[in-house]
Amino acid sequence: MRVLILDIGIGNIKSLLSCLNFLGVNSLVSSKKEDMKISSHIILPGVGSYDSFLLNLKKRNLANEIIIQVKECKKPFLGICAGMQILGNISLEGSEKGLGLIDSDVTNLKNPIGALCQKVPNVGFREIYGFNKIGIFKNILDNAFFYFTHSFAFSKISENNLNLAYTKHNLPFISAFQKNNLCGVQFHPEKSQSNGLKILSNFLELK
Amino acid sequence: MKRIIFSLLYDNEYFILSRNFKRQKIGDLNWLLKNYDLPKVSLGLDELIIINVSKNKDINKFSKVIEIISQKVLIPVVGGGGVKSIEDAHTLLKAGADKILLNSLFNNDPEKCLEIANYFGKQFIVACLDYKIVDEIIYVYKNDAMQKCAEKFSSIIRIIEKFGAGEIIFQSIDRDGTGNGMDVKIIEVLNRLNLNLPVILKGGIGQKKHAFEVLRNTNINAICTSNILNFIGETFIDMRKYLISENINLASWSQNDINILRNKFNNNIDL
Repeated sequence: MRVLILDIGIGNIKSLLSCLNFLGVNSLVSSKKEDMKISSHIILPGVGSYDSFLLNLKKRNLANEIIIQVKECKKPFLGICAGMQILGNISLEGSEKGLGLIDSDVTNLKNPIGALCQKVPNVGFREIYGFNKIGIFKNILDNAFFYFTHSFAFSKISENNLNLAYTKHNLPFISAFQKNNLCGVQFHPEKSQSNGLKILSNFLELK
Repeated sequence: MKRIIFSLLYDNEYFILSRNFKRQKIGDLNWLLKNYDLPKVSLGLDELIIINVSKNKDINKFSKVIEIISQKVLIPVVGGGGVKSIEDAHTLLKAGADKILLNSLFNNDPEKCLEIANYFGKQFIVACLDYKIVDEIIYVYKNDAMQKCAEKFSSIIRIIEKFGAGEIIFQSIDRDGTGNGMDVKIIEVLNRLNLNLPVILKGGIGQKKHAFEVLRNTNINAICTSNILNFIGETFIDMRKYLISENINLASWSQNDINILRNKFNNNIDL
């Protein structure tokens, strides 16, 4: 196993690194294409606004290599938070174009319900539901808790046959998906105690 | 979901206890690591905040503290104290902080707060507001509560909302470190203001009942305590169990699963 944490200069690399260490996995932190090529699993952790994240990615010429690794090499790839959002087409948070690996747009969590409206950003632990307990969701219980901190999310994905997890907010949003080797999580598995460790462990078991 | 947050106060190589912002040294980083089983203690917590309250704030030195502590816990770590720029925020992020805390900067240079928020996203910024209530009037303080702000409480809150905060901590200077219970007066005020940002209350928790009294209010999303002597053994795990039994909406997870997953892959790598 050669796990690569893709460092685009703006993610919370250290948190993920210590979580993988906890699982007994030594991973490589790098932003080099060559390292992507020789890795078995790629994780793209995300903190950052949509545009700054994508600009950092494009500045390092990594966008196209991600597409190659996911589409052609079929390598297990996990995008976390902003790292998930940039896998879609566009976002209301910015004007940059996403990688288009999944047919979805990122929308704002706000909606006009009024007084009983859930707060934005969505910060803290929330439950996920609706997924099949296979792949990255293996051994995850219905309504398991994960840590979120975000203002934007995918509200729907216009593709069939995906394993999707949802989370309730003002409107339900997509909190995680798996499309064969491509995975995305809106929550932070590296900050979600036992459930986060399980998701990461399941991801590392994908071939 | 509600949250239980612990904050460590770091003052020039020492962790301290604070009472009404007067400080008492407790021990250094080695002492902390020796006396506290951080992975275990963090099982009772939702978040950990580490605040640099040193007079001369050296961000690089402080980032080493963040780096060492954040490696020991599986929960979000917030770092703050003296952050003045995107570069400072980046230093803490690189060290392992998931979010940063901004306090005086919202008074001194709100545009800079917005610039940081635009770069990292609003969810990255936790604002902290230190206040005192005297004769029903709320006064806001800055620079580690040493300086009273000229602006009114409500206008400072509007600045915090407008200039990029993702959540707000209200820290009562009078309740700080007393353990006599949290400030319920501010809750009434916050109910009236009806903020759209998550609200964290800090200062005064001495017993788990104090946490319950505050967390049962719809508009309070989290409580924060920095009594380091409470940060021992099973205190937070007990508090969590008690609050859940009192129907406070808190997340729960399995300690057993964590133990099973520890070192699961056994460094089987061929890099």
